[in-house]
This record gives sequence, structure tokens and C-alpha cells, in this order.
Amino acid sequence: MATITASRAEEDAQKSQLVEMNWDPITRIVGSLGIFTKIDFGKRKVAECHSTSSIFRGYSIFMKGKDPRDAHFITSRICGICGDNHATCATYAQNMAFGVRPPAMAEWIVNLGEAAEYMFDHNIFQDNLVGVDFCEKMVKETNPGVWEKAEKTRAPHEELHGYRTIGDIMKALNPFTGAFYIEALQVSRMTREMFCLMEGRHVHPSTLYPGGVGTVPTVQLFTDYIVRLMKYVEFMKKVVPLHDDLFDFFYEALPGYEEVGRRRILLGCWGSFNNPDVCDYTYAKMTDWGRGMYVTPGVIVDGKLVTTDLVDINLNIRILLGSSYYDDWQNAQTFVQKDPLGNPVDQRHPWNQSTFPKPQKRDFKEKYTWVMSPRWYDKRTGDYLALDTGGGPIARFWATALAGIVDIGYIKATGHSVKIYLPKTTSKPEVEFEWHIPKWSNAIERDRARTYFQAYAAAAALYFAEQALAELHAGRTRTWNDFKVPEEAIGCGFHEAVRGVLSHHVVIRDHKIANYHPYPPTPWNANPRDCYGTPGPYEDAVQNTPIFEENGPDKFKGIDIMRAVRSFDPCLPCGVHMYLGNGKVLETHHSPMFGAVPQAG
Amino acid sequence: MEGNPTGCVGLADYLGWDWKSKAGLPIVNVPGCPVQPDNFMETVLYLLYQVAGLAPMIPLDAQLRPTWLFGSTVHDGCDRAGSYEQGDFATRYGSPKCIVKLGCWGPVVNCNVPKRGWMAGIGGCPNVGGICIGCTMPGFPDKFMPFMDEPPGAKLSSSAIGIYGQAIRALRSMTNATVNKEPKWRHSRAELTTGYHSNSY
Repeated sequence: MATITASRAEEDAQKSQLVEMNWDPITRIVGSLGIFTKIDFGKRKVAECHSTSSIFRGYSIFMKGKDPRDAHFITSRICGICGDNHATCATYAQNMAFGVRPPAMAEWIVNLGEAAEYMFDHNIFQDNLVGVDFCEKMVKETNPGVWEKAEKTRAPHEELHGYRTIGDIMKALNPFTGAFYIEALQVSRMTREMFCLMEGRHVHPSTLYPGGVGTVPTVQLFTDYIVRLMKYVEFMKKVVPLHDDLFDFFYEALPGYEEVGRRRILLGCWGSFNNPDVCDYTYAKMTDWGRGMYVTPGVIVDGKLVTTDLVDINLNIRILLGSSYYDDWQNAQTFVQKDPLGNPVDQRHPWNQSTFPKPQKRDFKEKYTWVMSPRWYDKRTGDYLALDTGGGPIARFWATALAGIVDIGYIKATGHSVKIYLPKTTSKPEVEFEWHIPKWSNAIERDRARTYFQAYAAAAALYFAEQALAELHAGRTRTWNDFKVPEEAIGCGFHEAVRGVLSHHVVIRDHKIANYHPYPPTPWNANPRDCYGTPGPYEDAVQNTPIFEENGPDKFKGIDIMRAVRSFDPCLPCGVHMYLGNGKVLETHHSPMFGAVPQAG
Repeated sequence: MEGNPTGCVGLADYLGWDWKSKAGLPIVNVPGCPVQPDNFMETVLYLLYQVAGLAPMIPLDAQLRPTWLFGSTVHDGCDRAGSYEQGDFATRYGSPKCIVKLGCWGPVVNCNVPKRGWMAGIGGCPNVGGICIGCTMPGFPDKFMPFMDEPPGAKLSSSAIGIYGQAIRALRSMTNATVNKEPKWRHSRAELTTGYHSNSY
């Protein structure tokens, strides 16, 4: 989907060959994200990048005045991909605001549901969407030299996944015809069934409530889940080594490929899977129960773990403007002066945000997107950090590994890595995978972490299923506790949507929602330059990305840029929200159908 | 939805409920938030049959919904409707009984999800413990909020069924206990006995 708008020369562009290339919409994701780049074909790198979204939806506006019990039903509708992540996160915020602690069984059921969601979404994104960027047809078109090499390169883990050469793996990834592509699709379907067992429906769960779940826990329920889970565990034993082989090959075949999508290591993870033994949903104890999560929350700056404290994470979230189509709320109402521990809450914190949309024409020197700029304030340095989520898994692993807390038999965080143990399955012996902290935060490592996290989610689900069965065998089958909606309250929920950090902040007054702000991962990743001029993560990850594609400007597909952007698992409808313009009409090259149908002349 | 600044509406509200395409196709609404996936694909497939001249005009109700999908209510297809009929209502989420008192709109909502399941016969809404919030109906969501309160109409009908339902439940429970008894003609003696009486047929 590329158009060469013009070869407008700018500044130093005379000596290099600066060409403006735009992808809008970026396909294989819901199409409201546009990436505008200037590519320097002389220096073979991206000179400038702007990330923009043309959709405004206004959830924070129409949530006002609603019954707070309805928050999870409504916010689930933010997204048709990760709605359940929103619903879950909303119930976390509701539980805090209502002062209710669900029975343990409910937590295990929600954790099993969310684990199935990770298993589903990472699987379909990785192997049916990202995989297409690495498939035979794509590589042949963009890097014929690499394809030749792939055909001759033996796959180091052939005995585990069954593909003899890297070229064979790439063929298996061809959309609609590749064996692995097809297998992955079928596996994804099964994981959706697992989700529906726990939460009724995907993408908007029917059985999720503040205070617990409506799912009836029976032996049959868990049998039906575990039967499917064990098939997925078996599948993982093939999937992880397959991707390791494929990604390692790219480093080897294209020296310097680590620079694609590389940015400073600035990662955020808000933690996932609450532990019912410690999680009482009180703000006062959030530091402790946050650390009890089965994916540890954390902020990583330049490879160092800065915090694992959800209170600290919460208080330092700042929503900046700069390049977004909104008026400022600095002098608007302050909803929350202090948190329940007495800490001051900033006016730029989601609890105090007001949304004043101001539609206008896109201007890359001024305002160019509906996405705001979420930042994390680093009190050590006074910097407003443009944290990214790396598409979710890389940040989750990095935080969990360094924190070294998670230790549940199937998973062990070591302080420098994460070990994942998968038991014997129908036709494969037990295996142990180990995710190691990589040297870079780049496209390949984001993609690699995704594969490993599929195994992590499966391993965690094995543990959750055992815990749920133990509760069931002990006769503790209650799944919901009653509550009253207080007249005034505040709440926050922290969770990991599939592609990264998710928070919901609610303020209740007169038993109604007075303020509500969901912050999903894509606003963290796809945001624009803020008021300090700091670019958003997509922008700086794409900027300076070297171009390895062998095609010149005429046949340019932008594959390296697409790999960089897709490594973040973009999902803009999560974050933003009124389609204003006519999408540019471009040739349909980057689509999930790539290579599967004859291209219309 | 109340408070929505975009003013978005459905296609029929915008183009008119009698609108037809050049090929003579009406607007077809396959409601649901989200749509049950098989409902959607099946409708598309039906329309392809119709366009190919292999099927008659798609049968639609007044809301332009395919009648074979939306002709019955949630309640009609719900496996908890039996507990409603016996006046046996859940008072907390997670109970396997009828959840109409907890906010379920199933008795008056047109939808096949409890019958069809969410996918491959798995999942659904009230059949698996999730209140029906009316997502296939005109006026969703405003008309049905707040979701977790008992629908106004349900208060009357669930009280009315209470007396009848409890009587029926008592009678059924007696018969159920009888048919659950091991019959006398099953024993370890050498003599062969049977409960079969040919003259009763």
C-alpha cells in the first residue's frame, strides 16, 4: 500500500535522494493508522517518520454519567480484537472502586480466559499476519538474495519442527497455502473455544462482572479447557524453535538487521494475571499484590528495572499533548487531588484528564493525529519517557525476568531470563524453553518474544487450571461476591492487553461515572511528538531504520518499515477514536491475502 | 449511545428502511455486539445463493433481520428456561439457575446465541451465566442500561410464574425421585424378572 507522493527535496536532501513514501492505511491491522515517512534512498535509511490516526471515538466523553457497573460492558466495545482485555481491566478498576474482592475461583477463571486470549491473539498475529512479512513470496519479492540463501540454509531445529531449510519454513508461511500458516489458523480457532468456555463469548465476554464471574465451574468446564490446552502445548514445542530458526537466520543473512525497528530500551509492562491469594484490589496494598501478579509489572529503562511498584507506575503516568487534535485540560477540573495513600496526583494523570476534541486539518509541523502522547515521568531524571510496549511480550518478559519473582513450577523468572517448562504431551516429550534478555529492543526481538510468550501463556494456564481444579475439589465453587456502588470512589485497573500495557481509571461521584480514561497499548506506541518534541515509539523506531530491501523507489514495498511497525502489533482502534478523510487509495500489496490471489491488473 | 458526540446511526436509519440495491437486495441487519460469526457468514452465503438465482428473497423481519436467525427469543433457546418455568431464580452470578432477576433480558430479546453457542456450540450468554444485555435489539445499549438491574418487565412476570412454578417444581421433584428409584425387578436372585408388561402397550 505505498504511494510515492512526490520526490520533494528538502534541506540536505539534494545530496541524498529523499523520497516521501506513505502507507495509509497500514493494512493487516484495522485501517486507521497511517505511517508517513521520508526515505533516503541515497543513505538507504528512513529519514523521518510520523505516525497518525484518523479516528476519534470519544469513549472518555460518553462514559460520563453512566452507571459504574456498566463500565466493563461498555469499554469492552472499545476494540473488536482485545475487548476482553478492556472488560477485564475495567472489572479490576470496578473491584477497587466498589471495594469487592472476588472469590479465588473467579480469578482463576478470568486468568484462564485471558491466557487463552494471549494464546489466540499472539498466535494469529504472529503466524497469519507477521509471518507473511517473512514468507517465501514476500522475501522473494523484496530480497531475492536472501531467498536464495534461505533455500540453502539448513534449519538448526529441523528435528523439532520438521522443516529442513529456512526456505521450507518461509514456504510454510505463505498465506492460505503454507502448511504452517494453515495449521496456525486452526490452532487459533481452538484457543477461541478455550476463551469462550471461560468467559462465554469473544470478543465481548458475557460472564464477566465486577465482583467475579457468572461462569459455572464444573469438572466438565475444566476438562474441555485442558484437553484443548494440551494440544496447544504440543503445538508450542514446534512453534518456538521454528521462529528461533527463522529470526536467527535474518540476523545472519542480513548483517545489521538488528537496527530494523531498533529504539532505546524503554519498556513498560503493567502486569497480568492477578493472584487471588494476595490480590484484594485495595489501592493501599497495590504495591504488594501488583508484585504478586503472574506477569510482573515493571518499567525498564536502558535495560535496568526502574520499578515494579504499581503505585509508582500509576502516579507517574502523564498524558501529554503536542501534536494531537485536542485542547488542553491543564486548567480544567481536578477530579483527584490525592491518591488513597495521600500522594499528590498530577493534573496530567488519567484520573484528572478531560477530553476536548478539536478536529482540524493534518499538518505534520503542527497537529497530525487523534492519539495523545502518554509518557511515564522518571523522577530520577525529570524525563517524560516515551515508553513502548514492544507489542506486549518483550516488555512482559523483560520485567518478569529482571524482577525474578514468578516461580510457579511451569514458569521461573531467574533475574536474567525466564524459563518455561512444558510437560509431556501426546507425541512429544517434555521441554524447557528459556527466554534470554536480548541485546536490543528491535523488530526481530519483539517478534521472537511473542512466540515465547505464547508458550508462557500456555504454561501459566496449566498452573491456573490446576489451581481452579483444586478449588473445585475443595468445594469452593462460589464465583461472585456482592457489592454496593459507593456514592464517591476512585479506582484503577492495571492489566496487559495482548499488545501491551492497559490501564483503566475511573472516578465515581453521586453513584455515577464522573471521569473514565482507558489507556490501551497502542496510544503508548503510536503516539506523536509530544509538547517537548519527543517522538512516539513508532516514529523513533522507524526513523533511522536502515533499508535492506533490494528494490529501488519504483518497486519499493517498504518491507523493513512494515516489519518494524508490525513488530509492535499495532491495533489503533484500541487507542483512538471519527474517520475524517478519504483513505488514500493505493495498490493492495500489504494484505493478508498477499500472494494468495492473482493481483488484479 | 447517549453522550456519543459522533451521531453515528445504522445503515437503514441513514438510507431508509425500504432501500434496495441495484441488484434488488434489501439492507440486511445481522445484529449483535459483536455478531455471532456463523450468523454473519451464513447470511452472506444466503445472499450469494440469492444473487445467483438459487434462493428466493431472503426472509426478513420488520427490523430487517433474517427470520431463521432472529425469529426466536434468547429464552426460547436457553437451557436455563426450565428453571424459569419452575420459578427457580438465581440470586447470585455463578449459579446455574435462571438469571433473569440479575439483569437478563433473554425472555424478550430476539437472538439465537444460547441455542447456537458462540462458536462450535461453545459459550453463549445466559446459558453459560452471562446476562443478556439485548445487543441484537434496536435501541441497544441505552434501552437496556443499567445492565445489572432486573429488567422492569421481568419483576412482574417472574413473580407471576413463582406460584405456578413452585407447584410444578414440587410435583416434578416427587416424580423425579420415583423414577430415580432402583426398580425391585433388578436383583441378584437367580429368577429373571422384568418391568416390561406387554399388555401395557
